[in-house]
Amino acid sequence: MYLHAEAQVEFYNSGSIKYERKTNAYRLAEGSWLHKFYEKNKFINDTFTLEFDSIKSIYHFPGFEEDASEGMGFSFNMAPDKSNLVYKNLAGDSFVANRQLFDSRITITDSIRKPDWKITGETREIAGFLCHKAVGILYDSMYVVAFYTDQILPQNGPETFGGLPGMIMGLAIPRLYTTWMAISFEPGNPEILKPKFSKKKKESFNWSTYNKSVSEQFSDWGEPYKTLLVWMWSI
Amino acid sequence: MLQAQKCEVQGIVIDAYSGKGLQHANVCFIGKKDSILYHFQRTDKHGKFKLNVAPNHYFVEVSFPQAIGFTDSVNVTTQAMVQMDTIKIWNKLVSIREVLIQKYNNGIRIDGDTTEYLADFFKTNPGATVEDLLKKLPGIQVNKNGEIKAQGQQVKKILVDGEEFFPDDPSIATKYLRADMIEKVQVYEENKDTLNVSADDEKTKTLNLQLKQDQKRGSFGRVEAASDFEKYWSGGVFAGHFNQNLKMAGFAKTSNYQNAALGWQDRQQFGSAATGGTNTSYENGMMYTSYNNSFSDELDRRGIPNNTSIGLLFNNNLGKKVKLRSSYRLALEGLQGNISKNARYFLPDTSYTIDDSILNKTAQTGHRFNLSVTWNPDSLTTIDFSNSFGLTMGEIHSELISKTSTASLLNSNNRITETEFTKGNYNGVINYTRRFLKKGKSFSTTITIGYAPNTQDRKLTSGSKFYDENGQIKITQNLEQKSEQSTFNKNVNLSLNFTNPLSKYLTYTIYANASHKADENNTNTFNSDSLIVLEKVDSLSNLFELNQDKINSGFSLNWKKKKWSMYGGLGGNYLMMSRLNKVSSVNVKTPYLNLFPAMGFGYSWKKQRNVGLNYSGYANPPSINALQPLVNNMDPLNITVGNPDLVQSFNHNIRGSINSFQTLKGRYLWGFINLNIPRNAMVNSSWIDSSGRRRNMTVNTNGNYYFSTNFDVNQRMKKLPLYYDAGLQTSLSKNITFVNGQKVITQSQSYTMDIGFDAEGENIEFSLSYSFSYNRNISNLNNQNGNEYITQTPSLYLEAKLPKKFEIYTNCDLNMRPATDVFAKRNVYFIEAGVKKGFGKKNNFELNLHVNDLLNQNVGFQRNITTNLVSQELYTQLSRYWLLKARWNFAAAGGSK
Repeated sequence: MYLHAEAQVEFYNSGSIKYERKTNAYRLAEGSWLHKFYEKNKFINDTFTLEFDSIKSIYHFPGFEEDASEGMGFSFNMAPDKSNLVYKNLAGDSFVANRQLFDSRITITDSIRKPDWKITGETREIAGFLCHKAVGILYDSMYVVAFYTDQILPQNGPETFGGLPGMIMGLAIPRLYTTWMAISFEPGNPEILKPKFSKKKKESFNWSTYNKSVSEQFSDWGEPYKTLLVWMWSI
Repeated sequence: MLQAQKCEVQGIVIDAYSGKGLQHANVCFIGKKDSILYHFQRTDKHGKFKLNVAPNHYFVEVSFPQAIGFTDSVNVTTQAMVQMDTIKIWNKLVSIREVLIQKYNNGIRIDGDTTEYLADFFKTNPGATVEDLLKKLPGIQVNKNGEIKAQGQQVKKILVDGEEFFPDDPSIATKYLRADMIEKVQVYEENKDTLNVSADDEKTKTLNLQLKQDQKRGSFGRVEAASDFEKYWSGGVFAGHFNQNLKMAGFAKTSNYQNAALGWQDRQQFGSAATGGTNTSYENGMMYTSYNNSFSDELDRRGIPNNTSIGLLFNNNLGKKVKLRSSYRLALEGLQGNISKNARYFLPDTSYTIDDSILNKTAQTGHRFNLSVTWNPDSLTTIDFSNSFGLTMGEIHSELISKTSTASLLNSNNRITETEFTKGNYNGVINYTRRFLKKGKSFSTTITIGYAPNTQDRKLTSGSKFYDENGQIKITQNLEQKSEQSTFNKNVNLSLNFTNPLSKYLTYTIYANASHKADENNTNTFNSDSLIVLEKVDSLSNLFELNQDKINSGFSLNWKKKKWSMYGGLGGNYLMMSRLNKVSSVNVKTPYLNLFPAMGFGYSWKKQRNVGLNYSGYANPPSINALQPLVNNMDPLNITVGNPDLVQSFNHNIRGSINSFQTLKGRYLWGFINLNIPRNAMVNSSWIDSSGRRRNMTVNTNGNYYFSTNFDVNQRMKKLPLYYDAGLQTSLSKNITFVNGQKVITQSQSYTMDIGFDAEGENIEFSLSYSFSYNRNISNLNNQNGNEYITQTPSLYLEAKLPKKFEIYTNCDLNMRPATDVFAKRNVYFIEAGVKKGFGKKNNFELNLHVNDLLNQNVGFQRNITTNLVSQELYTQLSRYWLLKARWNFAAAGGSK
């Protein structure tokens, strides 16, 4: 008696994944005046959703009304703005991220993040899926740890990441004390529409022009807050 | 960036059971050196993949959900196209009989000194026992008597789920538990880097059988019987009931032909029972005295055995904090046999031949009861109280005819001995261990108490005749003697031990022990000429007490970081031995002061690889036998004299070992090297008079050494269900003794090579092996005789499954021992064969028709070559017989699978 392997296993090409993004602001703000502020509530938690099919996807905070202008709030720029979203096109290997940079809404267009992923052989279960661990480096020194599953086919993931043989269910960037962990998966066929973005030149960037701009914006802020924000915003 | 010419790599991934292509499997090309994921692709609906790959050395890893990952090594060059072999993927959900592997594992995992085997990976027949499973594990060997060696070392303890299971009969676990009940087999070494290890504690291995979770509930058992309906009968029943907190088991077995696989653990006995009739042999720098006629702890297999034993076990966890362990065993053992010995002794100017013919009959009854309670008042503290009670009573009847000659008959001796003995012992151990919150910090203290009272009554009737050169009787000596001996051995020991980490990598341990040991010996010997009047012989009677008071203390440092581990330590020991002769009131005190250094390191250069080197130094004080002033005339041809000038010996011991498992190649290698150099070794010095009588005394000497190596490699051949196994063992030693005041030096060498092939097919399993051994002994006395010999043993094992659940098997060992100058040729072709039939789904019931020693050649045989002695011994052993065996395995709820 044997069980045909495939009969037991499901593969998914589309659906939606809820990610919990958690930042340990207490550790992140160490050395700066913000540190004491986070002593009681150390973590900043947010939940974002990735809706995807085999070709495209949207990573966003559902239910957020567009055009509602949300101020910085009591997050001192440490938390991702709920209006941020990332649209990916796997066929064209590109993404468009729309986010708030102080008082303007800007757009970043570039290719999907694919550092040279190293496979370590370790595995871990996330949201009921067995995932393989991969490690990559961004900007020459920022380590990124990703866990991808064989069962969800698109080479996609949260934020602007992708490029692994399966869906990234877990992501961690130690330098930023931040992790993204999938907490649920719903199979289905969500409709994914490319959002409309401003085409204005001064609001359109790619990674390098964006990072330069961020640096400039924070240039007169004090350390270590400045560097930490630059890193936070570079993702 | 140079755009290197890419190569097209194609392949197909299929499900191992159905053979169908697997869609959506992930095929990844990972750089061997940098682990970077260079290329990957999902297989199409036929399971095929096609990638353009840059030239490099890759690991190709194929993963599929709920299946075992596949890894292979591929070197892509600038070829245009490479077709990979079909990749088979095994589903984890299929029955347990199939492969269950953890990461890149072929069933074996090496973690430091522990080797772990995943039981299901090694295929066994339905209804197979744990012993059958152990025979399949690389690095583990099981001999005909059920004794187990792991990586060349004796396995002395078998645990089930980490606990002792019938501690006096470790073979109950291997012969009655089924292979399919076992999840993992773990092998690790005891006494590895502890310091105050005395010489007797040889490095031994412990085997732990971890049961599968679902096997921890339910009842199971086995009933078996065998007979030829004429002379031979045996039967046994075993039943066990296990659940999460309780293990209950019992067994009863009886046999009149099989050697009881008795506990080969050391039974704890303190001190020594001084008896006469000694034979000295040498092993690893230790002088062992063995007794011709008594049933000592050394299992005597020379003869036809007859035994019955009953055992009961009850282990219970009372709540979360208390564990109770208890077992009882009753064993009735008997042995009867004839032994014929032929020995040649070499002296500077002449040589003697001694021919012995012995008839032995022994019977003993032994009881043993073990009880231990472990209490964990909190998660950091353990208190353990263990007790062991034993009582053995028995009788030995022995008849001996011995003749000594040179060119003509020198002397002859007829001797009948009747011995009755009773041995009792009690051991109690209380241990308190406290771990601290700081990881690695712990304190423990142990109190050990032991009592062993023994009595032995012996009746000796002996007649000796001494001849002159013409064959005429010169002297006649007749003796009727009765001796009553009682000994009482007492031992109390307190030890303290504290371990604390100094840093993340470094830990230190300090310990202190105090012990008091008292051996009291009361022997009264009476002569009788007429069997009516008993006259006490004062010179052969004595009452004395040997006390040993010892204080020792020491420390050790352990350092472990990533791939390296090291330890070093020093112990110091102050021993005061005092001998009080209560008859003469002479009290002699001798203090000994010793240092015991030990150090070693281990290096694990890759996962699953481990190499280590250890040094330890230890001292041995002289034994009571060697010092005692009692002149014993048990054997009028052999008299032992005490030597009060003996000093203790000090041994330097160096040991290296290697353990390596290359998962991708499926190659398992283990080996060790051992060098032992004793200073002031205690050796025998004999004076032989013109009538052939010997006076033996122990003396100290320097210059001995013992060197041995043992290596083995086991590998699965690529693409075939074939394994090969090759091993090499060598041993070199130098042994010094004294004969008639002259130094006799013997240098021995032995080289043994084994090579074997194992193949396993659907219906046939066979194993072919060949062992070749070359032995050479040179002594300055004995350059000609029997000093070089070769033995060869080709062996074949074959098992074939026939239709209707029949199975035939045969086992052939063709032992070839060619003639030497002293010994005649002695080839023994031992063949056993049989046919089995299983009934029921898992072969729960089995009938087996078995023939032992088809060619009727089995003769008990032992050859011994030491310094100035070459001897050969033949003893009764069962030869050809047939048996009809029946075996029934039963199980209930949960225990069955």
